[in-house]
Amino acid sequence: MGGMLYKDFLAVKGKKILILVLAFTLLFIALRLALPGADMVQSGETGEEIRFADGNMIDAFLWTMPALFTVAGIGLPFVWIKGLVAQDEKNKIMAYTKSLPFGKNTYIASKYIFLAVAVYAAMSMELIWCEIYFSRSGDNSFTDIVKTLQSFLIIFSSASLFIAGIELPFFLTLGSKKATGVKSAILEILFLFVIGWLFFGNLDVFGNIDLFNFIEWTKTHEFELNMMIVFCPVIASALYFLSYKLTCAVCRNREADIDE
Amino acid sequence: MNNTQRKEETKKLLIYLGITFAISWAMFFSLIIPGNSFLDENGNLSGIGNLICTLGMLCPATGVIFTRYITKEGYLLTGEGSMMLGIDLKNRKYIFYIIAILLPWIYTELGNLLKIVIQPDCFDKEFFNTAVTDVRNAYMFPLMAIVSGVFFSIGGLGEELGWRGYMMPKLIKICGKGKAVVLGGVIWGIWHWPLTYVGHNFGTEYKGYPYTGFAAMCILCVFLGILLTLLTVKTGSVWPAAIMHAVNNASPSILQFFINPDKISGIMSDTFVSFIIHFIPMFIISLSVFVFWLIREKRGLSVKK
Repeated sequence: MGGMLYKDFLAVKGKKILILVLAFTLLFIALRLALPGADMVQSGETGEEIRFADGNMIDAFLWTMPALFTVAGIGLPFVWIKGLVAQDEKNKIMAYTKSLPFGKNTYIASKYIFLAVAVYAAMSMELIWCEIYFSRSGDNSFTDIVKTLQSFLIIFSSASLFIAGIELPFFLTLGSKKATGVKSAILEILFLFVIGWLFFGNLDVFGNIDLFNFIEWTKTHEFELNMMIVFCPVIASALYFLSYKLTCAVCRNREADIDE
Repeated sequence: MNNTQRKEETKKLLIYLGITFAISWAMFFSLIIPGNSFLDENGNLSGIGNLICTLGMLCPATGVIFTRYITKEGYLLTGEGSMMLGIDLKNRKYIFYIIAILLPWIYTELGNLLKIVIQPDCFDKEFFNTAVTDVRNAYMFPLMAIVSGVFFSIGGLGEELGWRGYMMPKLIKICGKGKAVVLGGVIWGIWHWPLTYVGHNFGTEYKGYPYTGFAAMCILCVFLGILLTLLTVKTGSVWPAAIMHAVNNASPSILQFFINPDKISGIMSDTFVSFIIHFIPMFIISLSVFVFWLIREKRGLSVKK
């Protein structure tokens, strides 16, 4: 199993990614320590605190780093799954798994474990990047955005795990070509739906979207947010496990059909 | 184990300790010597203090990576002499994972209960208002601490890979379980000293500062180390210890939202005394588990003989 994980690590160019991430982290630490943020808070007419975004160029520049890292973290399964499976397809999966010193279930498990570890590692790095940002950030709206981002990290990672749980069965049972076809078809339908909605739907809802209102919402709805933080990863992990079981069952049935 | 093997293991352990202490203490002192504060004006960990602590927790893991490279021990994930990163739930090992998740909640809650029993005046029904906007969040907090402890266990993993995954197996080989847990706990406690000095663990306003704090940190690390070592040995993995460490650091407790520190008076107001009382349940659990563990091992050995 350890060997399979290492093979997958090499297949996604893990060493290169690791070096890049470490280099960027060191660069980010250096930038953050050299460039402290500034407080941008004023009292409003009724005494309420107003946090300003303008004028604080350092935090305005640096907050994008943990934010980009978080977005990249959610996209991990999208980017890696195809590469993970396609690498083995070069050796014809059926023949390849029969040549391994363990069963097909262990092969499937290795893919699931690898992606779970990747999501865990990405989430941990995102957490560290948020901590780096906070180390010398000022009290301003950008810091509020990163704080909100940090409180949503577990939810984002659950989403990432959920996506992996949906994609992996397709890729492992249909093969990367067919699975990419299915994925593209679903995405195209979604895209057409969105385009259709943009033409004929009610676009007024966009008028109400405001990031700072959302941040305020997270502050006033702490309990709801906490419920999401507690239950999202539990549900996502359960679904991920079910997805693994389902993939194993489908592969077992297919092998039985071929044997018959 | 013969003398040559013992010397070899001791050498590897000293290399690990040298590297880990050098990296982490260099980081801690880089902040202390210029006079930067770990704590903000409210006595909470400052932004830079938090970053140093987070990165400091990763230093033991970094120490293991360098040591294994120098000593050519390799980077096996599972099995004998490995980094113990595998997860095996078979043969009822999942019970130890459940213990790792729930035990910190139990002893933290009992510790807070003990504080209230000793000084009932400190119980304040309305005190939660200062920390959370809604009392439901106070009831929800232990679950939050557990979930974030499990998912944000990278800091705990960073420490446990070094202390329980590398140092303890070597110490147990060199001097046996009994001495190893005491010695390992003391080393782990000493590693925390720079942070204790700047007030990370107990503040700086206690009797005998900083020496009583140094002693308390070693005592805590010995007792907590027993539980973490037991989990690692029984599961053959550092994950339960990493999870327990992270959940322990998150202090999962409902009662803490109802203890008003302003109403604590007398000897209990000393952060050192308050800390000792807080962890008495953990000390008792840890000691009983350790005695039970040693007795069982001895019985097992005599049966084998």
